[in-house]
Amino acid sequence: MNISVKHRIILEICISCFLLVCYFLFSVFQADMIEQTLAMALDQTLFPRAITITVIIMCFLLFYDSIKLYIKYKKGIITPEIHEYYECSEEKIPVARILIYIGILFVYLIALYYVGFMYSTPVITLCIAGLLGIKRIFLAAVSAILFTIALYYASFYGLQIMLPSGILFY
Amino acid sequence: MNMKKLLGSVMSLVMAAAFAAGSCAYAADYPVKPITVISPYGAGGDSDIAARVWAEFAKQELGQPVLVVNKTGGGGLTGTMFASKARPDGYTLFLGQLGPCVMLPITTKAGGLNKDSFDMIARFATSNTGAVVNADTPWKTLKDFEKDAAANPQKYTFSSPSATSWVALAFKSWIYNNKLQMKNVEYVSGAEAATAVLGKHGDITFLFRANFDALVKGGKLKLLAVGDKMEEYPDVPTFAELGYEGNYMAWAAIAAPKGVPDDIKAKLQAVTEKIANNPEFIKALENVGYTINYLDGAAFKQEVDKQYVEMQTLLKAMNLAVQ
Amino acid sequence: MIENVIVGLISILNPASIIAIAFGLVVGLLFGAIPGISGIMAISILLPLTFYVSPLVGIPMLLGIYKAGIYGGSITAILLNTPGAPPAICTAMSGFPMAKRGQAGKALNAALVGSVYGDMFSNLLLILVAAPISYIALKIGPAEQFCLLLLALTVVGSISGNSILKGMICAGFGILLSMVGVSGVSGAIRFTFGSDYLLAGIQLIPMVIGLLCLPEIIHQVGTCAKNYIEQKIDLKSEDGRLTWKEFKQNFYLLFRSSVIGSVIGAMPGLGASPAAFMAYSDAQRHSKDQDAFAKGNVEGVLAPESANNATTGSAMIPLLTLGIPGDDVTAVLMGAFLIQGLTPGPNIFFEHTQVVYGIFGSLIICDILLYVIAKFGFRLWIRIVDLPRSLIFSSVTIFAFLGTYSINQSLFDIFCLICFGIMGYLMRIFHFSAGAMIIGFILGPILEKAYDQSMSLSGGSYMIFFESPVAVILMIMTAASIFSIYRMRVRKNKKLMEKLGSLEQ
Repeated sequence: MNISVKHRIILEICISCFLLVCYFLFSVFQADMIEQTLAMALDQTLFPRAITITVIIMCFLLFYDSIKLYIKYKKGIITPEIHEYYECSEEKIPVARILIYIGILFVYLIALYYVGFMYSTPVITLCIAGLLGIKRIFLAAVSAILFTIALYYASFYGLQIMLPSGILFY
Repeated sequence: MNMKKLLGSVMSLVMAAAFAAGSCAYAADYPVKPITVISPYGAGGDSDIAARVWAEFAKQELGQPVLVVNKTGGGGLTGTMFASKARPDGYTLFLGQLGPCVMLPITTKAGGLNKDSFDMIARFATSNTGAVVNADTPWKTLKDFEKDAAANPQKYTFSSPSATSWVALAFKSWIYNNKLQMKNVEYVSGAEAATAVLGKHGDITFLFRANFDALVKGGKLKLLAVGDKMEEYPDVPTFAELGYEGNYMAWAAIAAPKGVPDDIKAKLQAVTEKIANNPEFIKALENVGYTINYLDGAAFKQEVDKQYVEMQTLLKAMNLAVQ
Repeated sequence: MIENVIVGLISILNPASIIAIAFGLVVGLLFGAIPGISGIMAISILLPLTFYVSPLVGIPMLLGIYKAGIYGGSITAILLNTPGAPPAICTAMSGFPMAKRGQAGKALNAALVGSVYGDMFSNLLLILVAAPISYIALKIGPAEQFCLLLLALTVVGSISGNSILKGMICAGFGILLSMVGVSGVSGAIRFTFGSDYLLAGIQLIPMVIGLLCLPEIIHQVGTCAKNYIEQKIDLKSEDGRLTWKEFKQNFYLLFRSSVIGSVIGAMPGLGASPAAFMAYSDAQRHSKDQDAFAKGNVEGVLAPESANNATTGSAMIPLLTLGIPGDDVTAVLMGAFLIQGLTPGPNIFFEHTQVVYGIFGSLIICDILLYVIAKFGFRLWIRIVDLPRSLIFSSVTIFAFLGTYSINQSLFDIFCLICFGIMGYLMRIFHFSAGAMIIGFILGPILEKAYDQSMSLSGGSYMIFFESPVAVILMIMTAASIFSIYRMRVRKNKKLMEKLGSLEQ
């Protein structure tokens, strides 16, 4: 997938709008999210509020800038930003592969919880390696298993960490 | 020879993993797998060292690895909450201290902590404290300071070693009891509070022994009062000798989440007692600023309950308690 | 006294100590290079061991881990664009583009030379002028610290790419994220949304790995690692080493960065990452060829590496002279001293002269050995690039998980890691700066702490920031830094416009 210059500018407007709304809502409900446990002379809401307001101003400026950029783009004026977007628009974003990879990461997280490090790691290693293209599958499988066992004992004896053993076997 | 040993330990580990799959812990052959000790403060602090030194010696007694896990964050709250919710099978222990076990249940509602969240197995050390000021100041005793501070409200600054810590609250209660008005600046560690007093950004602070020992001996800080009499400073009075009420001593203990079987507790208590008599253990912890002071679980629990009630009353009066 | 000093310095030249140092250096290099696993972990694990050996064997070993650990982060930063620890973030920004251009050897050498230079500089400071420096460090109060941190925060302007606005939004978001959980200073509970997990706050390591390492892995997996380092690394060619000319040209830069690192290191509570950021931004502002700097050149590697290693020596200054550990690593080192019965503090120089000077000697040996061992290690590291791509990026993924898990042994941290990874990738596409966010996250809490402390001291009056001359000077420097960043931007834009203009004609 490529993002064309026009789409990118529109996305910029959307992102700045989105951030603006998020931070605005955040600033409205901020006071409720802060619980002062110890009686303190100092107001613990002051610093977060100052930061939020600064960020809101920045988001507004970003919004303003991106609208201005859109108008310039429509008129056909090339600014350094638009030039940069042209360069980026050639870059392909391989959405499918990335989504698969992120899916594998989440599966790994869940697998760590249920079946533990020992059983999930070789499979996940092979999956990711497969995504990148492996040639000798048997060799890869053996090395993935050895890698996992080595890591398990290295972290137990070297780092004094017990890697998750999975609640299904516990 | 070594190879055999390594093979043996690997084998036992595999066996342990296999056993752990099917069975709950049987106290008779406890421990069959590695034990973790949760330390709620960061690696390298005096409490972390206490946990690591205990683990190092307990490993030899228990015949299984004892791993220290630092679960930090939230002024000790994270590790404390995690340990209190851990499975009570004796394989997750907690380095119990005054702050997490007594102060946190009083000052925060988070995590459903209360004074009975942990079973106390045994106390193995106490930690002395002291009120210190810069060596250039005119005060000779804590009484002088009290008089001066009473005459000049809001003039002097207490550098607090961390808002939620026991040391800070103990000294704040001293200020409250003596009806003093002082400025209060929060730092995040005893070391930072000591730096502030050294750099004269604060006037007085209340620290554990490890934080002030070197500076007092080096003549940079002056010790006005200590929690418990110290041999090295025979002239420095204790708070009790000066006529101040309250508890000015902290402790380190081995605790476990509520509900650990009694025989496991008994075994751990016996191990801790044995360790506490080991001269190497005593030397290691005394170098870090602790005093070895063994007390068994039952007697210790009573003491903790007493401290809890005392602190609760006091913090309620100071409007710092939530339960 | 003098003979004690000499005996002490010589006493370190025994085989046991030197083997211990070499062992520490190798461990530190490995731990530092793996994302998420840092030297401090190795130090705390080996701490109980030092109880059984003499101080001149145990403590030098830990020092070796400390120094090599900070340097080690640069290796993976350069070769894989996965900074293993926050201090190596800036190194990755300059080093990885160099590696992609085929200058991996040059970047690695520059990182090593920078590190050893910074180390040596701050060691000499520690040995020669420890006492006056600790005196100056004590004079830095909360107000001065606040102004210094404001100055450090202007770094956001230098590293946020083309849009300062986006950089500032990211930094602000980082600061807000750093507030999640129970505040260590006030005990206030903020932005936890009722979750017990968030009470602990968000950890720095999942964030750094998630925002910087994972997007790179995602990118490489997405493109089948097609635009990973292509050329074979030749350590003998012009691009494979740091030439004498380059070293001479950048000698002053190294000196400046080392000074920045030493100053930051001597102050309790700041640490190596702000030092690296400040040195990077300083190098950028002084760089003669802005384009080359932006594309990554030796200056951008030398500056942060010498600054982050310069903090190691000077962090020992408050530790040894006052017994005050400035950060978590020195806190563990203090534990090592205490266990040995050596109490760091004003008296240690008189009571244990030989041991202290033995340790000083070990610092120098550490540096020399670090250079030798790391140089030898290059042959090994560059093999990483030759491995099959599928192997590199699958194992880096596992290491990222392992490193994250090792901090708190919590799967929630891994969940955070993945979320930050996705966020980091999106930020990368839309040119939001992950580096700025991490700077905000690191500096935010200390900034707020310094602000709160200043306000408590002054009773709520802002005059405290204008009363101390140091604070005022720092504030003027902050203003100057903002101005110079602004001027740099204007110039750059003008140049670009001219270039575009000439393209159109």
